[in-house]
Amino acid sequence: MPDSPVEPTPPPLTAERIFREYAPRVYALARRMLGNDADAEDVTQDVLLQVVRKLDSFRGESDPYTWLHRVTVNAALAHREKRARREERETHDPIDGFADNGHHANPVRPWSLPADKIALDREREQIIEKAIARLPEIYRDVYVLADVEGLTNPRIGELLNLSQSAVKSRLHRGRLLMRNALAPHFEEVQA
Amino acid sequence: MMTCRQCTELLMDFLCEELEADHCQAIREHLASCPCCTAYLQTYQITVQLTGRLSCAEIPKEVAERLLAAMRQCHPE
Repeated sequence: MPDSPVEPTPPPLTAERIFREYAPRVYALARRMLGNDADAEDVTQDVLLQVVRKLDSFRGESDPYTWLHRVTVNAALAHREKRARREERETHDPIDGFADNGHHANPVRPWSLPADKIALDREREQIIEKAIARLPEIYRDVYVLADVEGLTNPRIGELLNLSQSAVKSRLHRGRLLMRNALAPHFEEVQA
Repeated sequence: MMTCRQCTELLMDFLCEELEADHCQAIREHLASCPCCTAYLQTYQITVQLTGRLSCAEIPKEVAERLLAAMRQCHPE
């Protein structure tokens, strides 16, 4: 009777391995939700130390990224609550930016290239990241989780404790504000 | 007659095919005669697609060093 194949032992979960595998995504999410490096570092440390302290249960997770999303979002929201400086930005509803007759208040021009033809170089990525950082927090959280992280609306609702209609409304408004912010950088140049 | 504002409000549901047929029809009719809203829809879709292509934010080197140091302290090899 042939010997059954031996499963190779997975490499140990060292601090370096955990860092290499998970830190970039945790940091990226925290950075986009909180808008600055210092807060992102605090939250990333908080999350990674939780992983290290609860290594056995983390190893048992069928999908570590689902766990990491939840822990990172909770840590970012808690960190924001503790921050002394509250967001003073007025939350402008992009749906209000229309003329009284319901038409667009300003001309809307197509963008010069379709998405797959637009090279996302470092400069363009920074334009998009800055636009995300300028979104009001209530729209930014949903926008980042949906359009950057690719989470479903029900999952976003669970993470942020929002109804589905609130998720959809905030996502739509986030997208409208992003579109408006990016337009000057991508519009067709007038002859 | 649908206005640009109404069209914009319903854009996401229209693109996700979550609108009733009569609203869809009204939006299609509006788009057929409104180059601004046609451009708005195009640029809305591009915005979503571009955002989905963002790479992971790079962790600054000194931040990475501090994070690793904190992790090693908590979990010495």
